Amino acid sequence: MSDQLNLEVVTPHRTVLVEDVDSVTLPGIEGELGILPEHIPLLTTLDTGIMSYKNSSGKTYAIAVHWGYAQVEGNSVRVLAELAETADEIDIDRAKDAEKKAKDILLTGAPTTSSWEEEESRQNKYEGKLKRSIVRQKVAQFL
Amino acid sequence: MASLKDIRKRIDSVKRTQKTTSAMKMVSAAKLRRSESAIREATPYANKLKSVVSSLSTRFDGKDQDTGFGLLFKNSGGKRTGVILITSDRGLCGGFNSNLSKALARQLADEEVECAEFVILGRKGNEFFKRSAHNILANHTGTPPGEQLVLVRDIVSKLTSRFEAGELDQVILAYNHYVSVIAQVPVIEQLLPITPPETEIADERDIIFEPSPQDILESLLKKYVQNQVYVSWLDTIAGEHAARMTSMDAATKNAGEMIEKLQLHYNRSRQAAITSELIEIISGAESI
Repeated sequence: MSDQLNLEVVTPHRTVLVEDVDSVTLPGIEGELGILPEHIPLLTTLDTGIMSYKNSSGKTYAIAVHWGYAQVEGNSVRVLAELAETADEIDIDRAKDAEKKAKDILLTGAPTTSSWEEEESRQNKYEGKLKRSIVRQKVAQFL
Repeated sequence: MASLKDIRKRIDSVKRTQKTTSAMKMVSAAKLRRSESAIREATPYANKLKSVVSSLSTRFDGKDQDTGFGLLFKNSGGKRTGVILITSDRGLCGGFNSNLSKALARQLADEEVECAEFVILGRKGNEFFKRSAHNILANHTGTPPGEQLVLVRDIVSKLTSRFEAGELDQVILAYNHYVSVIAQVPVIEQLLPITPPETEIADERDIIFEPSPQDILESLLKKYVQNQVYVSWLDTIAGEHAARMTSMDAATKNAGEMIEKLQLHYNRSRQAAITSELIEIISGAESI
């Protein structure tokens, strides 16, 4: 099986996926990464984004990951994500609602506090929400 | 001697207690199954994280002691101690909480730590330590399962930043390790400075880091510490239910024995009362 990658996706709450796959694409913090068998050892932080993989039948699947690490060593790819959802687990309506809500708040919302730091962390929070909801919708379309 | 009515009342009350204890046993058994599966689900992540940390820590051993992540390994040998103590919220589970608290108090006394700073999860630990000389920073009770991870993240990041700032010399984690339904072992381990886990290096080639190794390691190590606390918490919860199950099982059995004894006593006294009444009637009839 040296021409395949052993892909494992785990979160603190559960194991999402263990499978032998042909190739993996990861949302690295500094850009997308394509991993093929015999990749050089790599450790990277993952951004919120779409992770996709192709299994031996040539079909591509997507998983939404929200922040984590990926380690490539030999032919094993380990993804340690804070949160990971496969396409069929995503509630697309909920994601749409969340997107709309986050957008509204970011566009129209007046600052709720006078302190800079608090306002910044509030903005970051909703930007994160927005990003997650967009990623979820994209992943859901893979089905 | 107790009257017949008194004994009957006593039997009834013991029976009611027995009902409660056996119900509690049932509930704990169900909860135990759930918390066991929570542990099972969390283990792969914890193991992977551990193996990533261990495969990396060897590459940085001894170097960069003063950079961000090096600080987490730094052993300053002082006595200012932070403690994260994980206990249960409720009692009626045998010596589960008190064994842990006692072991911890003993260890702190051995190390001559007089005023450790405690963060306590669960009510029972707080009850034990609130009258001691130690300083309790926070006590979290009744945390629902969905919020555990967030709470742990919060606690750990506060303690690590104090450790990095040099305000604490070590941080200890105390919890009950769930071995099996009948065995839970109090575990007291050092959380900070981090002791790198045992390693075997699978791949000798250089690793590419994205972004820089420093950035990655620092956040990775913090995550590692957080996860350790989280997994220990799950461990403690499972242990709590197991301990309650065993102690409630014992209580149910004891109540059963007690009922048997009381019943025997009741029957005998009843028989004695009948006999003495008969004797009275017969001797009364004879005298006429």
